Amino acid sequence: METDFNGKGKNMKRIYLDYAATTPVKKEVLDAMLPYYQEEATFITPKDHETLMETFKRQFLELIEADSGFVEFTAGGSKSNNLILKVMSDVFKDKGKHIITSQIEHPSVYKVMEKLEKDGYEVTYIPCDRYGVTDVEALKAAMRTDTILMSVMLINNEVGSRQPIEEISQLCQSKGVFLHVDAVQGLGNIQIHASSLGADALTFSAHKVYAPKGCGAMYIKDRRYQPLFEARHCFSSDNTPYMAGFIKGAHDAIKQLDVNRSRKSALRNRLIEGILGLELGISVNGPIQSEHHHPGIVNLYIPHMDGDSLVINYDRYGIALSSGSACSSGALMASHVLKAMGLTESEASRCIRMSIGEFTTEEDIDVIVNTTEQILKGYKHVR
Amino acid sequence: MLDKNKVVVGMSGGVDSTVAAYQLKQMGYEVIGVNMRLWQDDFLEEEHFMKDGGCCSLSSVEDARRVCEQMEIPFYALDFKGVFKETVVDYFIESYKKGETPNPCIACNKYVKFDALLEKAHQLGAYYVATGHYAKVYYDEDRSRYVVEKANATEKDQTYAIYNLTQDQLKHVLMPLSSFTSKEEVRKIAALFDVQMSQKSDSQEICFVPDQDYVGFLKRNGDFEIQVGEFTDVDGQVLGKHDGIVNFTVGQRKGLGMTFGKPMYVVDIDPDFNRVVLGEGTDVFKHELWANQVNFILMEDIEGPYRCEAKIRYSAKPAACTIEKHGDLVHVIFDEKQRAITPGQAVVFYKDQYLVGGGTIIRK
Repeated sequence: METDFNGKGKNMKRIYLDYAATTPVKKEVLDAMLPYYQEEATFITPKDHETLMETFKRQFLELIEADSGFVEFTAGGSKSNNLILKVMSDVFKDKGKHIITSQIEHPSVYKVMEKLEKDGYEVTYIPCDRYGVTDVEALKAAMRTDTILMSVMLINNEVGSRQPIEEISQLCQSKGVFLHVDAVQGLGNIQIHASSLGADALTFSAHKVYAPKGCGAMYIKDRRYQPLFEARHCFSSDNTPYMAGFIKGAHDAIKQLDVNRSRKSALRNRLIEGILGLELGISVNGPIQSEHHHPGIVNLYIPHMDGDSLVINYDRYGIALSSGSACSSGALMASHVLKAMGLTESEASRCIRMSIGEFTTEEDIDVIVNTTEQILKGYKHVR
Repeated sequence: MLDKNKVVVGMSGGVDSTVAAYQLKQMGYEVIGVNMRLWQDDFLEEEHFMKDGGCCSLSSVEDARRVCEQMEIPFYALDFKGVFKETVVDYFIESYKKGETPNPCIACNKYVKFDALLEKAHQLGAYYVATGHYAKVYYDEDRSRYVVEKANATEKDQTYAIYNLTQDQLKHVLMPLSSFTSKEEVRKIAALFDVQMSQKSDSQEICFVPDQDYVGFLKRNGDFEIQVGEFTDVDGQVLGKHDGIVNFTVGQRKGLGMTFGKPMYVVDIDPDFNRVVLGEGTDVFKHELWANQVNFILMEDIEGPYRCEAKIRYSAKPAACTIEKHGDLVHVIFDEKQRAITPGQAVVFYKDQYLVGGGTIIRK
């Protein structure tokens, strides 16, 4: 921070509270990557490279506890979502052209849906309840004989709600519908057991588990589809350092899941209690208790001012957070997720997301609560 | 409480707003730079690769971000697309639909820069919004009002575009370029810290139509059919066919799509009958006009006939006239006939260097 603003100066401690957007690369992850930039990168034969890739893929399958299927590495979670939806909708197009998805998906899913609609597919968007959980009954009712594909996320990125994927996958299996699950926010935050989830396809992103950006993975249960996705890798060298980093990040996140979950949940409770305790009329959007939901996402409705103004005010105090999903910079529209949960346009534009991660401390939480009071107590809606 | 020492500056990445921010910082204000995201035209960006056309382009954000870094002031890009669409673009389209020639900059100032942005400024604790407009705004003790005077740099004066601000808006406005006597002086200041930016050309066209193809814009964004209609003369005789009233503005001579053996001008556009009325040179000159949406700045209102000068477009010379209120409308009678009085444009009144007020020219 360059200027002396709000009494804080250049050396103000910054608090990062946007782990659901991206995470810093951990030292352990970096250590796991470095060899692949140096010795492993140069003295490896093509045959050894093939073996290495097979090892990475096998390791990843083990991490997500998949009994069968295949993994491909991609350039990120959004890329994985794009690829799977485009390829699989094409695979089934002769069977039908109806697709079902939720109203609370990430842009990398709903933007593809909009494109598919233009291409002649019909898409049904399933509503959710006030906590951001997709309505399974509505989903059942939307199923048709020409339904070919369903895409529902595992954990919502804005409010942290876990979706009833097990129920949905049973439904899909009984009707022969291909189920894609965007598990980007799930990895490292809830247990992922690919086989018991029952999804036909899963997508993951490395930079949510303290590994580099620009790396993702897709899992598909049915190996027969592998050639459709492998072909898309032609002419590019495999980014082995990123893959090694991704596997290390995912490995650590999964290994320490229980400890991290209870730690993050405790911080989350402290944050919610602290903020609600200010008695400023702030409320929580989405699940109040983390239970089986994301342990670190807190979405708040703050009636005093717009989400983007709040983000700036917190930034002036050295706190980084976001107003909803901030994947496309500059695009601070009222969240479609919050609107699907029943908030009005104006309410949805007055919300922010705080997301706790491995480096968040109790002291950070207390500073955030105090700062929230600082920002809002001086504010009167003057106009 | 709002901090009177804190100001949010709308930063387009151009010379004027950059120097405005710089001046305020020099004066000791806490300055927050904000780039307003107003409009995104996927068609132009994808089809024409016009990445740096207009102040809505992405490169303008990067320019604004860079100069703020150089000036060591915090910078944020904020989304105003919703309010811009509702108050500026929709109005622009509606206006053309009615056969008028709109002035979107005036709407943008009133509803976006000095309303939506001002509200954001208040949310950030800032009392003021500042822009790179050339106009003098200050509180006049004698009149007990905020008044507006023409800028010292007369050729850059932009008071025309802020005639409809309210007293409450003016109270929260800073326009630090008012004291400069020329754009060159402003460029010199800009060159102190960013030579490349200091050479940027002045924006002329409407920012959300950087290719200047209004009709193309209306076709892509308007929800109405552009219909073929008739040209008539001033007596109602049909002269031929035109390709839609949106293609015309009062005073236009070129691009009528047919020839008449003598110069003919658009003298009226009748949206009810989808007609464009053509006349000879003398028919384009009129003595009087009517305006609605009248706002006064120098006084609360006028009583009886009031002598002043009026500009019927941004680039027009002020012309002596008498104005009088009739209900919500104002009647303007010029001493000398004015060329191409155009419905939809603003008529803005001046008394010496003072901005008196103004209104929107209507077809009557």
